Amino acid sequence: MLVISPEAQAKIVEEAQRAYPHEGCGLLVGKRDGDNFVVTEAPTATNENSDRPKVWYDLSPDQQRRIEKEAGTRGLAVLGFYHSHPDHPARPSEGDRSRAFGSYLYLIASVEKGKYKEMTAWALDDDMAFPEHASQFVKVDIQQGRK
Amino acid sequence: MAVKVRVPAPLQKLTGNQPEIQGEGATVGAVIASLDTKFPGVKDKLFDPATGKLRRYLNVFVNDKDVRFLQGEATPVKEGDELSIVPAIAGGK
Repeated sequence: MLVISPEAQAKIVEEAQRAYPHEGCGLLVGKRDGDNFVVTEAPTATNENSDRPKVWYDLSPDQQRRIEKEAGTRGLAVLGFYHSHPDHPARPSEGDRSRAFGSYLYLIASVEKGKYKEMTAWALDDDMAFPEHASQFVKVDIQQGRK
Repeated sequence: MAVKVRVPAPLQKLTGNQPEIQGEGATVGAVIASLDTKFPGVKDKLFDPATGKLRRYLNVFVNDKDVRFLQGEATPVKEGDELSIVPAIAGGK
């Protein structure tokens, strides 16, 4: 299960709407608690895709590295990533699946005509999968955490 | 020489859940290859057996520099450097 703070949820909604009609993206930062992903922060990152940012995102690897390192100094970890689907349902695409890594949580926020609609969360069924794998996404329940 | 290596979550099952491990070597490629001694399986996850090169969709940094803009796997490292393995995160609708 994903347990997400209201602040992190609000940040994802804000970024998804800000980036519209492009795909926005960011990181899910927090701690693992057994099988649960407890996300307390959702820092944004730049979508570096310049060819077709309305339908694809490439999360800035340099920002990813910096955020992960900084989170580590506070005892937190990068648990996964989020991105928005402008005018498209909050379901993972084949592109999302084929580029996903195991162990991470992938959150998708749908935005319709500039307004946030819903978010869903997914993880691969193989914790050690690397891209171009055969594993599948399994839906992860989302629960609102405490402030 | 000893180099700190930051490993991402999908590799941490192979490193006993440690996000930071130590490698040895004078180049990026040598340091990554050295990890297999203590953590068997890590090298196979990072290198493509067909080409012997780092797999696609992985970014490697030495300190704050992406090795693609240096000398790739041949990039020299020195004692105290920090090597980060950063999965390339992407997707689309």
